[in-house]
Amino acid sequence: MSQKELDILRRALAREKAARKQAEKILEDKAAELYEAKQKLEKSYIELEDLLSRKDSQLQGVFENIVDAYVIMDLFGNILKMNNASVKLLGFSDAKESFNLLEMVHPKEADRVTESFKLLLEQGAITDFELYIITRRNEEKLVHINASIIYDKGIAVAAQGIVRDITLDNIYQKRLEAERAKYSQIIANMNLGLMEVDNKDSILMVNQSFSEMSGFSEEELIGKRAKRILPIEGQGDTIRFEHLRRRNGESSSYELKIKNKLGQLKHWLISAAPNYNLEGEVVGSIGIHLDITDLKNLEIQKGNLLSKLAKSNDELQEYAHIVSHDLKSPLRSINALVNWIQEDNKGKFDEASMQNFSLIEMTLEKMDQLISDVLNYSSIGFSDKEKHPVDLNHLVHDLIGILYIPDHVTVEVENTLPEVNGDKTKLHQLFQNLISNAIKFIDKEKGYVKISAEELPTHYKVSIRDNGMGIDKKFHDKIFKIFHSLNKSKESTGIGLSIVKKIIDLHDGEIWLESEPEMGTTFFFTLKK
Amino acid sequence: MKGIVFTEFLDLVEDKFGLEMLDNIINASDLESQGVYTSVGTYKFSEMLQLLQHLSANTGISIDDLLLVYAEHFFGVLEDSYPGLLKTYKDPIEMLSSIENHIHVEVRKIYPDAELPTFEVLEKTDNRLIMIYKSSRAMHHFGLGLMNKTFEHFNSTASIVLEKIKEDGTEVKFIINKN
Repeated sequence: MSQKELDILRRALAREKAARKQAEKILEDKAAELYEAKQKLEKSYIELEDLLSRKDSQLQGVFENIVDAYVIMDLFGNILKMNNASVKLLGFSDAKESFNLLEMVHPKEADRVTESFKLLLEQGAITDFELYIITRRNEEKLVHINASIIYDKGIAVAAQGIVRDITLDNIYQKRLEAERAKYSQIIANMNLGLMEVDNKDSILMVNQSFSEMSGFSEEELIGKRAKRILPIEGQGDTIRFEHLRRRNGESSSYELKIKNKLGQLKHWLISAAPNYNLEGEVVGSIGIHLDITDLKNLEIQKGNLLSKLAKSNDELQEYAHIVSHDLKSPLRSINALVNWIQEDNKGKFDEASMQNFSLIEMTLEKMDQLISDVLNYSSIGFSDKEKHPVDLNHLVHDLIGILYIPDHVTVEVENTLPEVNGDKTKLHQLFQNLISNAIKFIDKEKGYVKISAEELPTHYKVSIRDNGMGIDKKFHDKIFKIFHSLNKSKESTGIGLSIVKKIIDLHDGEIWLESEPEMGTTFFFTLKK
Repeated sequence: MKGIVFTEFLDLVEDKFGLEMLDNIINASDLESQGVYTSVGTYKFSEMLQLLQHLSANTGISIDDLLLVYAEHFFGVLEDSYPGLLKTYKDPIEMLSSIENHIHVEVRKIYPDAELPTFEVLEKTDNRLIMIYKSSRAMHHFGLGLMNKTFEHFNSTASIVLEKIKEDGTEVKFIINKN
C-alpha cells in the first residue's frame, strides 16, 4: 500500500472516528433533552392530576351544596345519584335509597311525563317542565324541572336534572291573583269613579263608574290625555299645580268643573294620590272621582237663599221702624186727646174717673216704651259695625254720670275695668240695662250697686252686685227670655234682659246670676278679650 | 442540511468513484465540518454545494446529473430505513401529491429542524400531477431522481418535464404524466 493510499485511509478513519464522537455527543445531548422533556411531562402530569382532583372536588361541592335538588337517573328513571337537597325535596331518608322516579309522578300527570320523557331523549334536554309529584312522604308538590341527557361517547346513558319546589310559589301566585281579583271587583263595582294616569296624563285605567260619570266608554278613554277628553274651563292652573304635587309624592283633594261627553257641566271632587313603581319612582297617579254636581247646586241655591234672606231682613228692619213710628204717632195722639179731655173736664170728673185717666196715661207710656224696646231688640242683630277697643272703665264712669241715681243708692266701681273689643253703643246699652235694673229693684233704705271685673284666660268676667229684692231661683232661667218680667212695673217691659243676653252673645260671652230673695242679686257676664 | 444527506452522498461517492476521489473533493473543499459527518447532525448546505462542485469538476458530470443519480441512491436509503412509510401508498401519484401533507410531516418527527422544500400541487388526476417546487437550494434534480424512483418502486413509469419558473432553479414546475 502506497504512502498516499495510507494517508487517504488514515484521513478517512480519522473522519469516521470524529463522526462517531460527534454522533455520540449528539446522542448524549438528545438523551439529556429527552430526560428533561420527560421530567417536564411528569411534572405537568402531576399538575394535571391535581387540577383534575381539584375540579372533581369542586364539582362534588357544587353537587352537594347546590340549593336546588340535583338528581342523576338512568334512562328508565332509576336514581343513580342525588344530592341532599333532593333527599329533602323528594322525601327520602338518605341519598343511598334506590328508587324509580317515575313512581313519584302524580297519576294525573302520567301522560305529560311520558311525552316530556320522549322529548328529553329526542332533543337531549327539557326546560321549565312543571309537574305535580307525590313524594316518598306522600306530600303533593308542584316542581319545576330542567333536565338534560348525559352522553358517553355520543350514546345517551343517563339524565341529570335540577328540580325546584314551586309549590309555595304557586300558592302565593294563586293568593296574589285572588287578591287582585278581589280588588279588581271592588274597583269595578264601587260607586266612585277611578282613573289611573301616567306621568304624561295618559289614561291607563278607568273603572265602570268613571265611564258612567264621564259618559265615555273605557275604549274611548284609554290612552287619551285626560284633560283633552274631559275639557276643563279655566282650571289649567289647578291641573298643573296638582300634577306637580303628584310628582312630588303628595296626595290631595280638589274640585274640578268638567264637561262630560254630553257637554253637561259637572262638578267633581277628586282625591288623587301618586302611583309608584317597584323602584319607588312616581309613575303616575290614581284619582278617585265623586260627582258632587247636586251638592254643588244645593250650595249655590243656599248662597242665593242667604242673600235673599239678608235682603228680606233689611226690609223687615225697615218695616219695623216704619211700624213702630206709625204705631207711636196714634199713641201720641191718644195721649194728647186724653190730656185735652182731662183739662177740659177739670172739676167735672170725679176722683175715680181722674184715676182711670192717669192709668190710661201710664198704659200709653208703657205701650210707647214697649214699641221702643221691640225696635231696639230687633235692631241689635243687624249691626254690621266692626268691633273696636272699648275702655269699659271710661264707659261705666260716663254712664254713672248720666243715669238717674236716687240719693239712697250708691253706684261704685270696685276696680279698674278692662278694655275689650266690641261695639261701644251695645256695650253701653248692656251696662245701662244691668245697672238701671239693679237700681230699679233696690228696696232697702241704703242701697248699693257694685261693679268689678276679673281677667280670665280668654275672657273678662264682669260682675254687677246689688242689695235689692233678689230673684227667686225658679225664675233664674226665665228672666233672659223676651217679654218676661217679674215685676209689672211701668218702667219694665221685660225686654231689657233679653237685649242684654243678645249683646253678650254678640261678644262671645255668657251671662248668669246668683241671687237670694230679699238679700240681693249679682249678675256675672263674660266678654271676649 | 441534514447529516444523512451528507453521509449517504459520501458513501455513494466512495462507492462509485473510490476513496481517493472522496478524499480529493473533501480536501479541495473548504469545510467547516472538516468532512466529518454523522447522519444525525446538521451541516451547512454550502458544504454540499462545494462537494458537488468539486465532484462535478473532477468527473465532468453535471451537478444536475450528479443530483439525479444521488437521488436514485437516496430513494434506496428511504426504502431500507422507512419501509412503513412507503407501504401506506398504493400509487406513485398519490404518494408524490402528499409529500407536503404527509411525508414532510413524518420527516419533521425525526428531524424537527430540517429545512424542507415545498411542493404545491396545481393539478392532480389519476395519471397526471403538476406541482411547483420551491427551495432556496435549487435541488430540483434531486427531487426528479426521487420521483423517478418512486414510479419505479410502484412498477410504473412516467414522463416528467421540468419547467424552470425562476432561472436559478429555486422555483420549478414539475409536470408528471404517468405512462
